[in-house]
Amino acid sequence: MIALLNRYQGALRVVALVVGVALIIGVLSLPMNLLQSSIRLATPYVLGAMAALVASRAGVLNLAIEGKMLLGAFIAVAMLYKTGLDPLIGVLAASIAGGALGVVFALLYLRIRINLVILALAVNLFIANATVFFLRASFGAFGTLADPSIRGLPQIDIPILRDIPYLGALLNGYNAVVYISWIMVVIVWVVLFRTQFGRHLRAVGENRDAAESVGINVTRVQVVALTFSGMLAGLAGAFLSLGVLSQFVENMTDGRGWIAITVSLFAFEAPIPAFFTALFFGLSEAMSFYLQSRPELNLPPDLLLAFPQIATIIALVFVALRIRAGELLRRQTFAIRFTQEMQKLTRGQIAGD
Amino acid sequence: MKFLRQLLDGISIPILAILLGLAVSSIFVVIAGASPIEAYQRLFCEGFGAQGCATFGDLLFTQIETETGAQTVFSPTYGAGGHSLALMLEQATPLILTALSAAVAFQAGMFSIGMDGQFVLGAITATFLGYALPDQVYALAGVVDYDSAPASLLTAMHLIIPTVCIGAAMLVGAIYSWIPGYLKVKLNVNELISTIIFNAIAIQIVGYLVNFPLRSDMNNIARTRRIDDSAWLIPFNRGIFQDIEWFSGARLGIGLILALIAAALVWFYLWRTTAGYEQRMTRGSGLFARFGGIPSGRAALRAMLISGALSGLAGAIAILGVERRVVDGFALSGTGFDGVLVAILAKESVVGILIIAPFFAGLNLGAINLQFGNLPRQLGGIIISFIILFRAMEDFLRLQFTNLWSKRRLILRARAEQDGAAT
Repeated sequence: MIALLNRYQGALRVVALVVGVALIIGVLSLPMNLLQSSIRLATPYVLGAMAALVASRAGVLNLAIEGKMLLGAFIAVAMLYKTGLDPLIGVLAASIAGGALGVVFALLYLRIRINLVILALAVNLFIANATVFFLRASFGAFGTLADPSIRGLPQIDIPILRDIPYLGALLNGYNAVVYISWIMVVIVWVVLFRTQFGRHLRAVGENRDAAESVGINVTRVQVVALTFSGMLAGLAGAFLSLGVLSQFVENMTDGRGWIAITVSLFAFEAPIPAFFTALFFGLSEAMSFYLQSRPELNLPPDLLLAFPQIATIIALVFVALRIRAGELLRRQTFAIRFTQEMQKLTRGQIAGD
Repeated sequence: MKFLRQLLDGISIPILAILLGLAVSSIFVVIAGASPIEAYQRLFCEGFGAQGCATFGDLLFTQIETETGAQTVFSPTYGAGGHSLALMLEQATPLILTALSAAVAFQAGMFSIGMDGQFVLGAITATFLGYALPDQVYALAGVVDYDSAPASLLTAMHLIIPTVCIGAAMLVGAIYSWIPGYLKVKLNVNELISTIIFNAIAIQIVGYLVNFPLRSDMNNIARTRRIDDSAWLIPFNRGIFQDIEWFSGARLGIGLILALIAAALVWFYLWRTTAGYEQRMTRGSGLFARFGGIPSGRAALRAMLISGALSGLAGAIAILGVERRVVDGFALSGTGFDGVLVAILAKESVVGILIIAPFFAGLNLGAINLQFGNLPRQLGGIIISFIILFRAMEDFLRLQFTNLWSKRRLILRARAEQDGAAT
């Protein structure tokens, strides 16, 4: 199998390229409003995936993204309720709250050494319950907090972009968090691959002990990474509550944090591929809403809602297959080189005799 | 003496965790503007108390008025008007099974939390077979329905139909849990993430089934048909313990006995069989187990199958014994996830699960009935998350205590030396 793949590598590349181009053309020929909504819906995945990959590049599997997102969504709405503040302040508060939860998470994990998975489950459970608790205790709302005083994020009109024929419609007119998420992808990439801190962070993730032995402060790096990761997740939550309906609904993240983790796994924890993977997940979610809105197709809504989840499972399997193939390839290469070296050695021995 | 010390060692941290969890959660009660003591009294009375329980003392002894005057009775056995403990056991039944399911998976090193998905799929399977099978039998026997069937046929059906329903639900649960297990063993797909996503898919599937193919009437909230009476595991308050008032308020039934049998079997499997040994070794170190000649992949897959079957059983019992039909939204009850939490709190020990699951069920029950001032029922979830946090801090807490203890000893010794020098 692997040998076959190796032999026809050139042909395979051509096939992959053709399929890719066909896919892109196919996607771009979809209706414009579908594309716009998929870019919009991809935003929490983009930010969540950045949060996941920053943490796991630092060697901590951040499974509490779901909880941090939900906290961000809640704080953003709670800040604006009856105060009439600018929505961007809500976004900022959400991000700070996510960061604060990240610090707490980091301290509990690094200082008190709670099992990472159990800690994440407990944090998610706590946030899911505490948001609803305060919804009722502080605002007297049951499950949903909506009020005219909560203004959604305004759409941003970019002058030059607006006038470009196709791209203008595709890329113009989203709210601030969508653009922030794109900027964040670039920032994460620059920080990870072009700064000293990013090198330290990746070193800690690759091999903690080695990093420690050359004098990197592992704890500090991980705390900073988890804080940053929490801020990104908080931003994603603020988008969910202020960017779409400008209200908070009980458990409104609805598993998006977990899908975001899958996005980052699928992209092998690289920011730019993660961005495009997130776009794909946004497309699959938009697709399920789009098909739901057309009753003439007569498709069951519940099964359509499972669309992104099924895509996630397929993505997980593909990641696993790719890792497995890479492993096999390495093993095979090693076996070939090993036999060659052994042959050289035995020949040398015979000559020596 | 040694046994006593071990017991004390085993339960001291969980009890400490529960107390700390309650203490920290009381901050939230205060924020919400209520008195923690009153709130907790209410919580525990609703969860564990007899009828008319109002204070912590009433949990143990309660004053009742009789013709001969006031009398003090032992509360847990005083069942006039139904007892919360029966309701608690009803809720604990599926919880015990899902917690066992989680424990079996964890004990093989598989951090699967797919109990929710297996639970709801098992439940919908049991529901469908619970009304579809008897229909077929009645058609074959040439009778109209349950009431017109001959007694001998009904006896046979009462035995066979629930067994078939439970078996099918266990099978479905096992298959649904096998998929992420296979992905983990063969392809190393993170089972935590895959099971969470499989849960979401199962919930959508059940939502679809309840809303479309299996929907029975045009009720506001979509629901399936009710299972036939011959598939029903008749609860104690309608069956053998009809006259005992203690059971009257709860649909507690044979399910609890099945859950206890399952617990015994799981304990035997984990600690007294080769297969159980193999999967525990696999958890400790997969590579070591492989070198020792244990097929670790197969052991892990077996654990996943058993885990799925237990969750499916929980779903079948929740339907056949309690709900008798699936209503839209049943899938979101979260029994499976609660089972995971119970297993974590009990550190995957079977005895621990049997103790913690009822406690957990009582806490949830009390929280649901917590119509106290401004307190939402989510207080229960907050308490549980803090208990889990403190439970997971076990090593840290132990260290703190040892430090305190040795510090105290040092101080005492220094003081003794001082005293010695003075005299």
